Amino acid sequence: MAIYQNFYDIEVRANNALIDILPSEFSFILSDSIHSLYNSASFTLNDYSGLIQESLATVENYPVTVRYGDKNNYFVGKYVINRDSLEKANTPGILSGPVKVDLLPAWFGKQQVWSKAYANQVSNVIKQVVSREAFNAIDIPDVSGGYSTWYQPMVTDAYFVDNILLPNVQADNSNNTPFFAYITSDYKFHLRSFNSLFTPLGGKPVLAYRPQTQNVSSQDNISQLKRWRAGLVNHWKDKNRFIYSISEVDGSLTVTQDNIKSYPPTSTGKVPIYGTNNIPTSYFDIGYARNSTNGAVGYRQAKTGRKINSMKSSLFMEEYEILTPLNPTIFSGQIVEVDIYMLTKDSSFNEFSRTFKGDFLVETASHVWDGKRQTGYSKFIVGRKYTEVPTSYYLGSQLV
Amino acid sequence: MKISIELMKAQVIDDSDPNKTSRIKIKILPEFKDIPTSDLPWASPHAGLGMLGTEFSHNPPVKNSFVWVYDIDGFYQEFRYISGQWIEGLFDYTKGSTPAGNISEKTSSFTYPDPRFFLLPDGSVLFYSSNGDKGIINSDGSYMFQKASGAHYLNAKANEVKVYNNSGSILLASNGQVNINNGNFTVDP
Repeated sequence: MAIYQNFYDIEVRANNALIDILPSEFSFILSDSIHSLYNSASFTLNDYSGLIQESLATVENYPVTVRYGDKNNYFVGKYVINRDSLEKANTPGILSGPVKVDLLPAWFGKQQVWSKAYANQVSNVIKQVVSREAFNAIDIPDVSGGYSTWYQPMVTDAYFVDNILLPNVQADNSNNTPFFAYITSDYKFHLRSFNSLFTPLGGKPVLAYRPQTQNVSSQDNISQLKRWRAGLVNHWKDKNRFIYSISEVDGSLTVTQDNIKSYPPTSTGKVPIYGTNNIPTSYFDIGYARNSTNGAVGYRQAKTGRKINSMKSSLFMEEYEILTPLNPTIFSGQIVEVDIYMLTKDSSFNEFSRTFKGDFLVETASHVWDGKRQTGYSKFIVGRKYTEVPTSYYLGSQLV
Repeated sequence: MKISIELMKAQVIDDSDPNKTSRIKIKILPEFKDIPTSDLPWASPHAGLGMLGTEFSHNPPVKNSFVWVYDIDGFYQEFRYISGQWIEGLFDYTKGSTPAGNISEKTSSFTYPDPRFFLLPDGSVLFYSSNGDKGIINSDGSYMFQKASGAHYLNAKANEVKVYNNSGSILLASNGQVNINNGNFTVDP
């Protein structure tokens, strides 16, 4: 265990044997993201003698556990080594120097391919599949539809979940929002709808980008911030869609419409795109649609899930990259309140920005310690879809 | 509706579709090798002849045969089959060419690729040739044959032959006796 200036606490065990770490000679990055099933990690340690490499302690698939946090909050992540590399040999003649070790979640190294069938709701199949691994927790709160026989065609559990099951997840209580499957650095598996992520049961952390006049040194203080919008090129196709299906009864073509505000539906929030015209910008083909006389309910629900999940790209219209001091309590999938100020008429910074302050979903969370520079920070990519625009703002009525 | 087709090989596990819509139960190999028969999916016909209510075909591949299938939605939920999959060891050209070649009235000797033929499960052969000859020959050697010239031949071997219309009939009995109009005129062999 290594504690540095009461700042962080990290313990690395390789095959359950404690690795002795000197914080100034050790660097790490722990990352998770709702956009990726697998979390990842890497660390760099100084192999002065080359004997760590010589003893093959960093070979592929070697189990590693990482305990990380501070005195009050810590978590344990389970990994296997993906690859190791010597960045630069320091001593002529021997392989000594900084060794970079990339990690994958422990699940990766245990998966076999299966030829199996599962007759169940999609989310229950996912729960059944991921229960084969000893995750620290399995977080699947939504009860999904999509009852069918789902086939695992000689692929790994992760491939099955990510590529075959996840696009079909739909739940009546998800408020027409897409689902995400991801593993966080605390080795918990999550299957969550955008709706359930945005309606947390507990409190939400506040991260504040404070003016210099409010110079505060604390874990919730944003030291750097970047802001961007997703870009018209990336979500123009989501603006207005025709939805086509072909009846399996008589072959007739049916068309409906949706738009960027359908997932989730809202009457108050604004999507920050200028222009209110409804020209069609893309179409989504459901394919064959069974009706109540010739098809199971689950089949139709799975196709509804595909329609909804195809709108993931419309969920993050505004994003921030924010840096804070190392904060082990925040993972991807959490809601954070981002406090941002605005300049007022009296040239003070006492008011929050009406446009930019608000609740954001943590899309990606990275915890970084740079031993060489002896600095640590957490980097979060956070995003949201809808903006609450004051009615007094001229453009408010002209946004989508 | 645009789909991408990636063909997979499968074995027909059942050709008795409870919905009576020409579906077959398939086992995709090797991907579904460990899946119990009761859980295997049904695949619908690719239906090269079209599927209108007034024009369709029903000719599902038989149980245990091999077919090509594709997954129409990309999630292993909707399958179509293309009949059938060529496996060299199962193919024997002479099973069709030899019986058809035994018809003495044929215009000329068949030369590969003639005759084109369909081998039916009872061993009979439905065939046609590029010279216009066509017919069906049963496993016992009996046949119906039509030459390109329009001449018709029927050989029932040891069985009777009956030709009739609304007004009368001609019966060639299995013993060679000819009976016209149900006994009005009889000729012994």
